[in-house]
Amino acid sequence: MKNIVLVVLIFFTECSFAQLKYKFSNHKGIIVSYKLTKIDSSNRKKDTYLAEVSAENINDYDLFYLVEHNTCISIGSLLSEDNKEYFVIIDVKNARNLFGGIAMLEGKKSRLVHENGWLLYRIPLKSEIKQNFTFNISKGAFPFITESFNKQLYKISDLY
Amino acid sequence: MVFRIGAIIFLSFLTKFSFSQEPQKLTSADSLFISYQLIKSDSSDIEYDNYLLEIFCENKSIHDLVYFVAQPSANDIQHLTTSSFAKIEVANTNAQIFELYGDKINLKTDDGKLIYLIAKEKIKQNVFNVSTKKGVKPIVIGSINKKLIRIETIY
Repeated sequence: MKNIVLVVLIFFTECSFAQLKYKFSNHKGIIVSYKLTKIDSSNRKKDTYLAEVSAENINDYDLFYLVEHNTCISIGSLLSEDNKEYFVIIDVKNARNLFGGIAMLEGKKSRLVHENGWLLYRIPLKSEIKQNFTFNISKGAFPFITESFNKQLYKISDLY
Repeated sequence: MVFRIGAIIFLSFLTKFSFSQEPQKLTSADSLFISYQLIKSDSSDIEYDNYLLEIFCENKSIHDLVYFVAQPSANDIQHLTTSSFAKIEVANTNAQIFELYGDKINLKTDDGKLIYLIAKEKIKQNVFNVSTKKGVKPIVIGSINKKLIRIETIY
């Protein structure tokens, strides 16, 4: 009986661990959340996770951000955050992938352009922008995940 | 009796006064309403009467309305008239035509068209001077010459 209880407990712990959903703070009505699922623990050195990240605009209006439109590529433009098309970056700090462990969420490019030439990207009202990615971390470690907004968000009337 | 006559005079004056103060409907499209009001400003000239023509333009919807104007070329002298959304004409004068403009915003379409805004729930007032021949009341006609849309439709 004790063994059955133990097995059930282990099963529940594993299940809840495998399907955890986290919410970051609400930034101007954009709620970024992620769900973690352990998809592979057969390797003795690392665990593999699937992260499903989403950014939801809970406002009853669209939000916009500006992306610098560069026609020529320079080192400065490559390093600049202004010309990046994403508005939020989710980073697994302790990921062991060389180029993994990062998700960048992008709005939808609109047909509007600011007078200074910058493009407008839209996060539609009451909608979610989603992305999935996998990453590896050391066996038994818990993923340490951060999010950061790299764009100023505006209502369309703020840009008039 | 004196009181009755006084009351009638007072009422007719009040009717006349309120009538002249009420803007007359000129034209409308969707939720945009244009009305006008004429106020005789000067009748001292022996040949002409001068009026103030007040034009009220109201976007009664809960959404901003916009219209597009092609980017002017460097030597485009017509641009000022093409960027208007409505034309007001005083028919019985020597072709006095007035243009109404939205507010140009800092955004453009990706094919380079300029965007002009008529803000929601706002009344924009324009005042023009009109001269007519002595005793002739101006006949005002108006037309909206741009397609007005919600900005959301071009996202």
